[in-house]
Amino acid sequence: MSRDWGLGFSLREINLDIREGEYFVLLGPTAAGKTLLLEMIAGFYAPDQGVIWIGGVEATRLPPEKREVGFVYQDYALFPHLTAGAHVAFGLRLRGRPDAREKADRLLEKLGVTYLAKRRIQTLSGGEQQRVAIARALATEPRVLLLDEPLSSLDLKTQEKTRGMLRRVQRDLGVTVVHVTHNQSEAMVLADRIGVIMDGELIQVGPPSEVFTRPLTRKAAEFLGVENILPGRIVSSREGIAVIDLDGTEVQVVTHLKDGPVEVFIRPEDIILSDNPISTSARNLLTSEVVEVNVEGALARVFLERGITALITRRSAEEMEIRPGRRLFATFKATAPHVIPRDGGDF
Amino acid sequence: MRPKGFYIWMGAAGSILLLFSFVTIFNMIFTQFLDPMGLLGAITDSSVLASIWLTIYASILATLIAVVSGTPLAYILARKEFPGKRLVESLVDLPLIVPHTVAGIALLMVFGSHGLIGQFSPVRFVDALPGIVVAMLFVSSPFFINSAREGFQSVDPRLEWVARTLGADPWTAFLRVSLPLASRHILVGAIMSWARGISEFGAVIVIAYYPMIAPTLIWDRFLTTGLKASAPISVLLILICMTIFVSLRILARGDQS
Repeated sequence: MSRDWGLGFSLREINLDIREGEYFVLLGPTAAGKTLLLEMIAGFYAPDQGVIWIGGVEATRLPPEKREVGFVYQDYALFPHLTAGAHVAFGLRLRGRPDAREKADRLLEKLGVTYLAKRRIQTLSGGEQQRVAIARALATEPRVLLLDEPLSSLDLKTQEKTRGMLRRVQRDLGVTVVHVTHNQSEAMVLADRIGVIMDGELIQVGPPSEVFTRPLTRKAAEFLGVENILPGRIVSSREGIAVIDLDGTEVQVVTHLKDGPVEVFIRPEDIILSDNPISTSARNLLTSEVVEVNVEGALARVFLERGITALITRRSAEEMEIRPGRRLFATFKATAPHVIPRDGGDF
Repeated sequence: MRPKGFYIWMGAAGSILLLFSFVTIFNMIFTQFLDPMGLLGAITDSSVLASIWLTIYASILATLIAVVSGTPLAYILARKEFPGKRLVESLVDLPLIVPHTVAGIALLMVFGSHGLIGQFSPVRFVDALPGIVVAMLFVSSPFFINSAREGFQSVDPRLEWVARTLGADPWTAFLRVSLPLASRHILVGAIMSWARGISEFGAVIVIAYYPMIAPTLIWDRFLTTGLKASAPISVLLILICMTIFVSLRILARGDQS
């Protein structure tokens, strides 16, 4: 489906099949269109073209109240005039459920916040507000729970606790979750599958292990933390191992590609730095000069010439006396890089 | 150092306006208190009491109409973008700049016996309660609509969206979420609109000199008998309206907390 919002933003040809009962994370940078996609699933906006199916029902033209979805916004969008208990009972009362109150209490109990029932939401902490928002959304037993950056307004410690809570609740209730975030570790921990979305386009869908190690495009690779993106050309290929010319140096890489211009993605933690050429099972050795060293807590990021970045511990950097101007050897295994075809031959 | 002098100067300049209003109103009240018999005379004059009651009552009717029709209008103005919205907004504010005598004449041309609507209407507007109500409604509606619109604008539309996912249709979402959250603005708007209706004179006398509302009666007494006859009625009207106005404002505030 597609929708053009004018003002230069649109969601383009989103083709996405989310499985029943799965925890699906939509991962993308700010302003990628994640929230808008979520709001279209909920029915707050209609697509210009295309269709939305929810649980075997064509929902494209259904109003939000007929879609059986629950929605939790980043800032929770709680009702300022209601107590926490009334929030949870809100949807149940609309359905005329006589046991609305008791069911609401049970849900608050499940989320460990029974004591909040009579409190007005202005008096709640961020974490408590979030639980109320989740309980409110789950009360009506939706088919799909839509979470818009549910963790990003919480402090780090509450975030960790809440991750566990989200997964537990999702498994217990068997509800399908679509969780939007820009946070990679959040996606890695929570997701059954991840959809990477950038500039209104769904770039890649797959399990976390695949998405993070095998990004499909250069932009996705950059966003997902692949810091070494090296242009090259396949010189020869045998038994699934290609020899690639990286700006004058030949390296061996495992890839199904046979020829042509390529881009080689290597995560910075997969690069080993040494003073001397070392003899290991790793098949690739590049020499390069250190440009800059950035210490980041216990880690150090070493920027080398030719656009190579390596992530090593700060202690290694200190013991090897790595500083700008030093010539080093950068080693990586043939299985470390991920190779994609590159448009056009020039680099 | 600077803030102190700054606020003293700002306060000094601002107090000119404050004193102006205060002196004008309370001078009249205090002067009248020196002549309690005059005030007593006004209180016991049945035509005075009838006119004050008529003023309050007619303005309540005008406000009710403003609330019933103005609330949906305010909601649409707060939530929707549509071609011609600027024009509609200007139309809402138009009564604020039209001189009141002009408003009265315009109303007469619509609701008068030979007017656009008046000629077909079974209800008589000229020199009758309905005429007073339409005149008050015309001048007071912007106060209500603008306040109610601000109220709806202050409600995040996403609250309604979330209510929709919980099973509320658009009507229920409006009644359960937006309306209660805008209620204070709506109440304040209604009070302002009611107060504005009471204070209207120019538009009313053109379409309905009789039955006399209090401002008309005061004008009439002033012309026929002079200041001494009109001042006690003015003070009485001011005291009654101030009491109601202040109590309603307190009520509206209490509603929020």
